[in-house]
Amino acid sequence: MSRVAFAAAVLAAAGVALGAAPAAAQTVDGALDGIERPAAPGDPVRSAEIDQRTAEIGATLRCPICRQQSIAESSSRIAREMQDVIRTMLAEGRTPEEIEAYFVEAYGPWVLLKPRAEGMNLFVYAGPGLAFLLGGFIVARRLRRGRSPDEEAREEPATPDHLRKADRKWLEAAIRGS
Amino acid sequence: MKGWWRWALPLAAVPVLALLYWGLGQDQRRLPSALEGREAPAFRLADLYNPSDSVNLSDFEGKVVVLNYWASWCIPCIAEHPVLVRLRETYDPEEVALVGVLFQDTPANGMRFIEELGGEWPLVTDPGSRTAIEYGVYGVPETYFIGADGVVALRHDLAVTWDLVERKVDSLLVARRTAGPAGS
Repeated sequence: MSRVAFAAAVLAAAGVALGAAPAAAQTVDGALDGIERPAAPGDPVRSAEIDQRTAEIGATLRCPICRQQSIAESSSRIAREMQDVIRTMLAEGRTPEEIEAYFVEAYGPWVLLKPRAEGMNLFVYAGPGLAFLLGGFIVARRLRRGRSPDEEAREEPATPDHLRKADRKWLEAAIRGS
Repeated sequence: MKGWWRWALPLAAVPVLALLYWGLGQDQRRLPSALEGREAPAFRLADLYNPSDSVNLSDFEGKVVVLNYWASWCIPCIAEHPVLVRLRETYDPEEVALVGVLFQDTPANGMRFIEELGGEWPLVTDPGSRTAIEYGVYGVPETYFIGADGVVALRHDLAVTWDLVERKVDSLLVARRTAGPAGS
């Protein structure tokens, strides 16, 4: 092999190595992302898609043991078993709504981390908005009616024949009452 | 500010405070069962001692069924076990069926538990807790009192006491007898 050919071969090898490095890293990352747990006998069908959908549905369901965590977050055994039920139901072609209804039937609406907007739950959804509107209304009324005498005095002409609103009202009431 | 505002604002706080009072009075560890008043989910589970044999809920049709979820690692299950033994000794198996479902435990541990504490009633395993999940089980012990009509009358989520068992089973037996020949 000539020196030129040797150098070209070395450069080519280096180029392949440099080019291959990111590809290898991507493969490793990809393998880690999509790592599959070993399936136990009788386990429900596992696939990346079903795992993804299981996690999405599991994120909406409350863990019966941990209670403040979803079954997707919880590491309790019952949460894992509930996820297996979801996997099986997804593999059977059941919709997320059907799966949610199944768990609600067993555990009641409590199992839903996001309560349904129906019945008394409507208060939870509408309450803050209504409270905000009511508060705004009260504040607006108070601001309109409860201005300080100084503010009123600034707005009204400072002539002797003009009384302050409050004084005029008092005077009118006194005249009516006399 | 008009007069009614002076009353409206404190009055608005009344329902909130009432709700708070009610909520603080509840035992947060206990949760309502969605199954009470509904037909008990059917099951077919393998016998603890002979896995090739199965036990079905329909095997006990027309009887009052006491379905108990238990585990060998569960301390309250040890406490309630004598109550279950007494239940089995007190009531006629032709009228009242007691079924134990092993929850998140190995058959070997379950068998050892029964060997030590005694008890002769159908015991089954529930792989993957599928039946437990269908019943809405939170943990053990949990006991379901099912009437002869197949409807869940009560779910009890702590160790059962004899007073509770006697009161509930007796009332279910009265309902069974008054239901007539179909329920007898």
